[in-house]
Amino acid sequence: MNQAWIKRWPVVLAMLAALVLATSGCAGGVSASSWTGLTVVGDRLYAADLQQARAMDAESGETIWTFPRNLEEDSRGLFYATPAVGDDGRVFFASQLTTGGFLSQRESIVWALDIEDGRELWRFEGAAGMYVEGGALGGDLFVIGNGDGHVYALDREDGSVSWTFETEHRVWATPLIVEDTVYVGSMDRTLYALDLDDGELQWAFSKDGAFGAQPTLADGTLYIGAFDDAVYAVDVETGDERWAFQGEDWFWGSPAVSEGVVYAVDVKGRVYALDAEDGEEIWHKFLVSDQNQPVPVRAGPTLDSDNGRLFVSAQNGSLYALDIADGFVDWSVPAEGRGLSEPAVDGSLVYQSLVLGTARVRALDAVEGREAWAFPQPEED
Amino acid sequence: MLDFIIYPFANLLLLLYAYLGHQTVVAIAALTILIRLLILPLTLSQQKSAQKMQELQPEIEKLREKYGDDQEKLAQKQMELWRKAGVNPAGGCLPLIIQLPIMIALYRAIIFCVPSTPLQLFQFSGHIFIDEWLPSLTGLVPLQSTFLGMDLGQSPSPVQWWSYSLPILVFATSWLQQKLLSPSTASTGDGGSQAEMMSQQMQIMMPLMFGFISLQYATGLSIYFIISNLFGMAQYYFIRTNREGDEEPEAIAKKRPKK
Repeated sequence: MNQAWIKRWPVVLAMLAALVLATSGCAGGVSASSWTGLTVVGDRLYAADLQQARAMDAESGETIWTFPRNLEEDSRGLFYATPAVGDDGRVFFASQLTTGGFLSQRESIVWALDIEDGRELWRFEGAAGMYVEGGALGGDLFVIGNGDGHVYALDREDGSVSWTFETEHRVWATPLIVEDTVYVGSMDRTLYALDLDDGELQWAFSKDGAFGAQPTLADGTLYIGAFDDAVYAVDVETGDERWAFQGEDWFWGSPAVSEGVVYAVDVKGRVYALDAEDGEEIWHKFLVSDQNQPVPVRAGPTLDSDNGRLFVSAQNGSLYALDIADGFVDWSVPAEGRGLSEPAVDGSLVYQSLVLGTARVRALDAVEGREAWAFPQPEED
Repeated sequence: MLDFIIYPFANLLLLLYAYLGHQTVVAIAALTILIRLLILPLTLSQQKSAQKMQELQPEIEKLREKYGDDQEKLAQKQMELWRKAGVNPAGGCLPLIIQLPIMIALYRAIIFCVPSTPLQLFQFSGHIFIDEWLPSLTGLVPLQSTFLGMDLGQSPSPVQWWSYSLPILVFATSWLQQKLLSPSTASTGDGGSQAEMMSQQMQIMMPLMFGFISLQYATGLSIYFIISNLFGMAQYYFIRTNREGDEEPEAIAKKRPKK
């Protein structure tokens, strides 16, 4: 054996180890570590499209403004969380910025932007973890959970911290604000009810599984899925459990509720319709791909009461339209990329946010599933 | 590529977490020890090989003095010496190559169980099978992610400044282990030889590399490195104690064929 090799192989192996470990699980370019989201208000759609915060015309898909304006010169990190739109001329986004080069650090930022032109009004950089699902607006506050385990209540005017609430694990779920109470789930397996004014704990509902999404309120009951394969109905006033439905896998997304029926999807793509009164199963449907394979689903369903449909965005990028009566799949439209957040419905269109694909936002006809527009438009050959 | 090792490791980590008091650090430590025990035959052969090489160092130096001008002859004589002593100079290579994917798989298992990003957790959600056999383990993920105020799923950060102690500990334990396993330079008398220089470089390069990796990646990985290094040192002392009755290097040298 070559002498030089015998002496150098430990160094070569050490370098190889560093290289492989450093590159395992990483990808070049823009690589997502979470999902993007969108909100439709009136004739406008606001989207966190990974690279930018974007305001668009909901009907045509035309961009009205972006933040930052010039992506090449002025990166503000990766925009993930679903934007919150206020009635006070502000729209709230969150991004994650990697800084520092050699010893890089991740910085998470909440942005308050002018709803008309996307101008920055203020930013909040005080959280140590990642923003995932987005925040909620209530009173004078913007409330958002963070991966550092805290819930932050920020003044809508200037972004100053009004109060914080510490949980024992990451808070990735969007809070639900009803009147003077904030309801927020944490990965510490607890759903908290907090006073909107000062963040004081009103009640806590603890189970065996983490709570990853926003609860849904209907008729005095909160409905929420958990990682212990269950959907829970909780009294909004007291935090007492009304019923629990035991499924077969994690429920990560928010349930949808309409006319006494709770709709929930687990991460293996089982869609359930449950009686809101007692949690009894009405029907369930297993979503499958064109190859008849199970389709993982992260997000909850979105209800279109006007058309009697339930929309589910799946990991494989497909958007499924189910009949709420029996779960029959009326249509499904594939897409490149991953659909990991809840679709939005407004009027005749259903909007889907995608990551890791060519199109980042697309709009489809809510009745027939025909694509109305996609952003960015695919380049023609 | 390594999914067939990563997901079993991650499920094993969940099992250990469930039965070791829901302490993530204890579970990582236990999994590290289990894996080190599993690959013990490989690391034992690596360490024995290194130790034999160390014992043969004086003989190598003698050969170097004698055949220093004729590199080809020197190489031939060295190979002859190693062959007689039953040492493969590249004997430590294979165990390291096998350990490398295991190390990567363990790291990936840790970040699946203590994820810092939701996509990591969502990816893992489709690969948890331990709760099908033990339903009581349903809902375990994500594991408790804090240890002494540090987030085990995040890399060290200025916000948790004390988390930088872990890369320092990784460096220190790696250096100690490397020093134990490297051939002694004092006995040779020729401090400038290439082998010694390489050995000295390795003593500092490897710990620096692992320290750097620990700075960049989840602190849970640092726990693995530290426990693994401590295990390696304990293993070294065990081998040394048990080799007292083995052949002395002089006896090996005497076996060399006379010209």
